[in-house]
Parts: sequence; structure tokens; C-alpha cells
Amino acid sequence: MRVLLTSLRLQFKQSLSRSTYRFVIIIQPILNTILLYFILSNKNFVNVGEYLFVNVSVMNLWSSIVFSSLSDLTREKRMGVLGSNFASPVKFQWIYGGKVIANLILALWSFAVSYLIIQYVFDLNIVLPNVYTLITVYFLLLISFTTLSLFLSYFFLLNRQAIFWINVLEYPIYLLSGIATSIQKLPWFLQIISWLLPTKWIVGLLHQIFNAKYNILTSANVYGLLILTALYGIGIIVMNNIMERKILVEGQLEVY
Amino acid sequence: MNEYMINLDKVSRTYKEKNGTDFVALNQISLNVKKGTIHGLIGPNGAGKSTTMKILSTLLLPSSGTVTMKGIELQSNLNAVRQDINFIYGGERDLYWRLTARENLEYFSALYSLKGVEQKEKIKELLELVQLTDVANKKVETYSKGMKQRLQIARGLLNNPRILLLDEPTIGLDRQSAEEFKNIIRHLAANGTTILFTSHYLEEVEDLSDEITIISRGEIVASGTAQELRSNIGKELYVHAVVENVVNRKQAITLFSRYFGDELSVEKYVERTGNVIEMKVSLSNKKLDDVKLSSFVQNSKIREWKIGSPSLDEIYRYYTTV
Amino acid sequence: MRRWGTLIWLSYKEQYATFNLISFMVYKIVQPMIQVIFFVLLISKNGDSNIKSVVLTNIILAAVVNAAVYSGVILSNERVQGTLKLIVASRNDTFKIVFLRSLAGIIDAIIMVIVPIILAKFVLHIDINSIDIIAVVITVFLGMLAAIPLSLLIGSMSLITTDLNLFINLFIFVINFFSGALFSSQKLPYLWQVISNFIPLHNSIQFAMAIFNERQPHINWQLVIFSGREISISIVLIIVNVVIYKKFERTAQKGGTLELY
Ligand SMILES: Nc1ncnc2c1ncn2[C@@H]1O[C@H](COP(=O)(O)OP(=O)(O)O)[C@@H](O)[C@H]1O
Ligand SMILES: [Mg+2]
Repeated sequence: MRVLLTSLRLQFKQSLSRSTYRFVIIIQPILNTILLYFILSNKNFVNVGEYLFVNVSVMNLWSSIVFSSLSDLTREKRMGVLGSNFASPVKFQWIYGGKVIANLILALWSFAVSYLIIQYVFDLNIVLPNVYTLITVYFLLLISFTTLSLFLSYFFLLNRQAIFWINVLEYPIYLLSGIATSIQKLPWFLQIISWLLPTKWIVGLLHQIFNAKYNILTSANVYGLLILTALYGIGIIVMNNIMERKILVEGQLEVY
Repeated sequence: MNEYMINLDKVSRTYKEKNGTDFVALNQISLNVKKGTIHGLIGPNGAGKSTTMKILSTLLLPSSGTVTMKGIELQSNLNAVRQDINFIYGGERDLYWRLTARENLEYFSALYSLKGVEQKEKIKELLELVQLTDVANKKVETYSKGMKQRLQIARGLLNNPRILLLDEPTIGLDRQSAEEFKNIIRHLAANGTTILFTSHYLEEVEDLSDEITIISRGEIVASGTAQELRSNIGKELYVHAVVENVVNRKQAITLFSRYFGDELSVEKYVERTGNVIEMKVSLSNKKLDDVKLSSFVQNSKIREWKIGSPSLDEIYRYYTTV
Repeated sequence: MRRWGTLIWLSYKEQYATFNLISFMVYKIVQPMIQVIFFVLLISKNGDSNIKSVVLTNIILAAVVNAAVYSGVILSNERVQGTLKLIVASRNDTFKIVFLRSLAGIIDAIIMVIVPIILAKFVLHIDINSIDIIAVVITVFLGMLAAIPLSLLIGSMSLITTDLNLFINLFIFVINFFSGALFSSQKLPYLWQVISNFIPLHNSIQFAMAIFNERQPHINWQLVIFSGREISISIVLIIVNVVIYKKFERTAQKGGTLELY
């Protein structure tokens, strides 16, 4: 537990010291909001502000995942610190769990950034749901994205082309999350993939919470997210074993 | 058995190569390191030194054989030994460049469950030891190579390791820092830390090691104290000579038989460029007549000539040249 | 001339040396196409746009931006590998080398335009006539011209910043935002509209849209203005970039930033 906290605290420092990361959590949300605003500004429906907010937020979350699970890890690989983390008495997944959570906590600030822009710069009214709903949703986002991000970290840890693939995945993920078009319009096999993405459920959930009368406890999206979190949790355990095997048996960790 | 802190018993390690074939990096290595001693591991590039170090650092499992550390069988108990070992690999790796030296040490010490006052004290002590106290709050990316290397050393000592593994730890250190590093190592060993290290600087190895192991192409070719290694080759006779007009083994033997007679039997013959040959010869009659010998040298157009104890450098070349 | 060809081709090959055919196709065709699909779907939510024009201009936009980014990436890779130092230190004119490398992006742009258009025609059944093809060719030509100073700019930036990614992201945003392909520039405030006229690629996209939207083909003064503007902007920017590059190179040599990882 203490390790998790130390890992978390130092990750805050490291991330914030990187201008790329400050860009991801502050500038990027602003740019995405502006771009989507202009693309959608002819759209004639009442809650365009909320629509913008949901889409931009999910795009930002994905950017932060890309950042935390991949470019950060690649960096660790390049600095050669994976070995000394791996060979320490602490379980690898706790160490990297701390790092991922730290990045996500920072990344969730981008929600605030896009909210402020939409509400005050573009003057589109967003009616926030009550505090409890917000906290619940925040918590759900945090755990579901932590597990996804950690899962992806493992997946790409020993992959040389990690950065390449994750960049390539950006727009497909947006599409599959239902940002540009309704998921029902996609072919069935793509729909199945989209069920496996927390972003799909988050888009649904975020749309729902702006309906004041909606009780999120009855939302299928909440349960979808919980189930996915559990699934990715199992995935992490499996991946951890695979990774240990790859390092110890196949000798794929290039310590030297 | 328990006097050994590190014990490798017929350890092999193969790597899968890109084309699918197996490459044997370590072949049935057996090696023992006594508690509180310094053991040097030398050998040419690709000999398998780093592979050995990785296995002992719990970063790699052997393909076969048994590894025991402080009496615990390693393969199935990785976590049981991790608290008590640490490693320092040469170069600038193993550090977070965007954190300060102090933060790096905080981070890694947390991985070894150091906390509170104990943690602070330890970090302070180590920063002083590697002389980084003044720059402890600067980011590592602003450090020179040598400073990063010294910080690595501090990192490797955070958990007071009972076994310390060093893979080319002095690479990139200037003479003075390397000297200070050697003192640290001696001091640690005197206090009971067991140390296994690799290096390409033979002078340093001879200077530091209680025992030395020479490894070549994944196999141990010699092991023991420097004295033992020396007498292994040199106890009978070790000849290092620069000879004119010697082109092959047969000629060399004929030449030397003229002096040594039938008593000579060549155990190893190595030819190098520039007419330098090295031979390990056995003699049934070990008594050498200095007067006869020098007249032989003069008559045989042998320009340089040495009989007796080889230097570590010669021992090394003797064993590692094919 | 042959030597130049070799240099361009080798630069191109080197960049993709770690790619196999599949990852190359994903990177150069699949990914940009999904990006185009994403934006086209988003744009078509507004309902009032000409789908053919949206699809074609977005394909061109994605291709040119990707090609321009290419040389920046190559340069930043060289920094990591340490070969950049060698180039700057070598007697060869650095600028020439960087210039050649940015030209290698042309190969990209061609691949990335032709394949998606064929797919758009046969998969999305977008009706493309011969006039459109001519318009596409001219636009790609204009776009490539615009891409040269852009890639040079990335190249220059890589000399003085360690966070090239950040710069590239900003850069992609600016080009996309002002291009007019994602939304009509007329939606922008007046001052921004004026600015967008001076942003590379904007005029090429306007040029293409004018042809795609107007069904009957004829060369009118508008087309001349668009292409004239793009050409002059490109030439001015190339000259400016040469100066910037030299300056940054000196800064880099003085400040020792080349040594950074
Ligand atoms: N992960 C790996 N995959 C394949 N071959 C490897 C791997 N690691 C090391 N080798 C090979 O094993 C041999 C021994 O390497 P190493 O132990 O690093 O040697 P040394 O440290 O003595 O120079 C070398 O030939 C090297 O190419
Ligand atoms: Mg080695």
C-alpha cells in the first residue's frame, strides 16, 4: 500500500514535469472542444453542450490512457528501470498500478477543462447532475480506466511497436465508442468489440447523467463498466503471468 | 555448503533466436561464492556474463540446473531472495531521469520497504557515500554520466544487500571515481556482503577479487584465486615468446625440443599475429638451466622470451583465445 | 538527380525499416481512412454537406498532414539514435538533407490518396468523375508543396525541443482546424477567417471544394486565386523556414540540445 502511494506521488511529479503531459490534460481538451464545437455547431438539438462535453471527455480520457500506459512505459523501458522494478520484492502490478492511477487522476481534470470551456466560453449550458452521481461516475471512470490502462500496459510492455499501435487505435476507438455515430449502425462484429471498451459504456453513462431524473443505479452502463472492470482485472492477472514468463523464461526484458 | 552465499550447479541457459534455433548462452556452469568474498567474473563479449548476472538478479530463469542464494533455492523462491540482493549495472540506466537523485532513492527504497527516519537516514548516508549530496535535489537528466553511475551505486545499496551483483559497474567512471567505488566494494565485503562482479578491466579484477572465474562461450574455463589460476598454467612451464620464422605448431615444437628435448609435451599452443606464440608445456624435468636457456634463446632467433608466472592478462588471453 | 532519388528512397526505406507490410498498410492506409471516416460521420451529422466533397477533401487533408509529420518524426528518431549529431557535424549541407527527407513524404502522400479514393469509389459508392480526378491531382500537388515547409518546420523544431510530439499535435490541430475540410471556415469569427487564408493547405482545400461542389467544370478566377495563394504561401514559408532552420541549428549547436536524448 505504501509502495502504491509512493509510486503515485512520484508519478505525479514525473508526469507534471513533462510538458507533453500538461498538454494532454490541459491544452488538448481545449483544442478538442473547440474543434468539435465548430464541426457540430449547425447541429440543431437542445443539449449540444452536453453532447460536446461527453465526446470531448472520452477523447481526452483515451489520450491520457495512451500517455500513461504507453508512452510512459516505453520511456521506462528506454530508461532501463523496468528491471530494477521487476526484481524488487514488491509485486510489479502494484508498482505500475500506482503509476496508472496517478496519471488518470490527473487526466480527469481534463473533464473540468472542457466543462469550463463549453459552459463559459461557448456559453452552452450544461446542467450538472448532483454531487453523489458525479462522485459515483468519477469513481467508475477511475477504476474502469485503471484496469483497462494497466491491461494495455502489460499488453504493450514487451512490444516494440507499442507506440505505433496505440496511435493507430485512436480513431477506431472513438468510432467504436459511439462518438461520431451510433453504435447500432455498425456491423455486428464491431458492436461486440465496442462492448469490450469502457469508453462505449462511459459515453452512454455520461449521456444519461445529464438527465436529472435518471437514476444511475438502474443504468445498464454502470453494470457494464463494473463487469468490464472485473474482466480487465482478470486480464491483468493473466497478463502479469504471461509477462513474468516472457521476462524470466524467454529473456525478453532487455536490461542490458 | 552453507558458507556459500551464491551457488550455481550445472546451470544452463538457452535463448531462442529470431530464426527459431536455440542459442546456448550458458552451458552447465557451476560456481560457488563464499560469504563476504569478492568474486570477479571475466570473459569476452558474449561469453555469458550478463546472462549469469541476470539469473542471479532474478530477472531471468535458468533453462536447467540449480541456483541457490543464501541457502535458498532460487527458481521457485524469487521473492524470498529479492529483499536481500541488489544489482548495479553499468551505464546510465535504472534511474528515473525526470526525478531528482533524492526522489529516485525515495522511490526505490520504498520498493524495499524502507520508511520514516530509517529511510531518510539511509538516503542521506548513501548520497554522502557517492558524493551527490550537493546535487541531490537536481533532476537526474542534468547529471553527467559518472554522476548517474554513482547514483546507480547508491540505488543498489539501498536495501543493505547481503548479495550484490555488479555488471561492469565501473564502465564510464573516471579513474578517481572507479577507485572510490572499489573502496566501497572492499568495505562492503569486509562487512559481510557477498559480491559477484564482472569487468573488462583486468587490473581492477585482480586488484579487487578474492576469486576469479573466467568464462568463455558459455563455459567456465578456469576458476580460483589469482594465484591458483597462475599456477594452473604456470606451475610447470608457461612460455610466451616472440619468434621469427615460426609459421606453425610443428616448427615451434621442433624449435623448443632442441632445448627441452623429449621431455617437452605441448598442452596448448596459441599463435598470434606478429610471430607471438604462447605455449603451455609440461616438462618431466622441471629444472631449468639458465645458462643453457639463454644460449638457446640467442641461437633460436627468439626475440622475446618469458618463462614463469603469467599475468592475469596472459591467463585471460590464454583461456579465451580459440 | 539519381543521387537525389536514391537519397529520397533510402530515407523512405529507413523510416519504415521496422515495419512489415501489414503494419505499413495499417499506418499508411487503414488508420488515415478510419480517421477520415470518423470525421466524415461527425460532419455528416450536420446533414447539409456535400458528401463527396467532404470525403475527398478529408482524404487529401489526412494524406498531406501525415506526409508532413513524417519528416519530423524521422528527425526526432535520429535525435534519439544520435545520428542527427553526425548529420549536423558532417560536411554535407544539413538543410539539403532535411529537405530531401521531407520530399520522401511525397511517396506517402501519393499512396495515401490513391488507395482511399479507389476504396471510396467502390466501397462507399461515391460518384467520382474525371474532373474530380484532375482536381484531386492538382490539389495533392498543391498540398505537397504546402507540406514541404510544414515538414521543414517540424524538422527545425526537433532541433530545439525535446517534446516534439507536443509540437506535432499542436501543428496537426492548426492545419486541420483552419483547413476548411472539417467545417466551413465561414463559421469562424471574421479575424480567424482572414488568418486561415494564410495557413498552409487551406487554399488547396478550398480549391478542391470549389471544383467538387460546382458540378460543371470550368476554370474560373477563384481557382486561380486559391492555387496562386497556396503557391506563394509555400514559397514564402520555404524561404522563411530555411532561415529558421539555420538559426535553430546554430542554437542547437550552441545550446548543446543535440546531445539530449
Ligand atoms: N534475450 C536474448 N535473446 C537472444 N540471445 C541473447 C539474449 N541475451 C543475450 N543473448 C546472447 O547470449 C550471449 C551471451 O550474452 P551476455 O550474457 O550478455 O554476454 P556478456 O555479458 O558476457 O557479454 C550473447 O551471444 C548474446 O547475443
Ligand atoms: Mg555483458
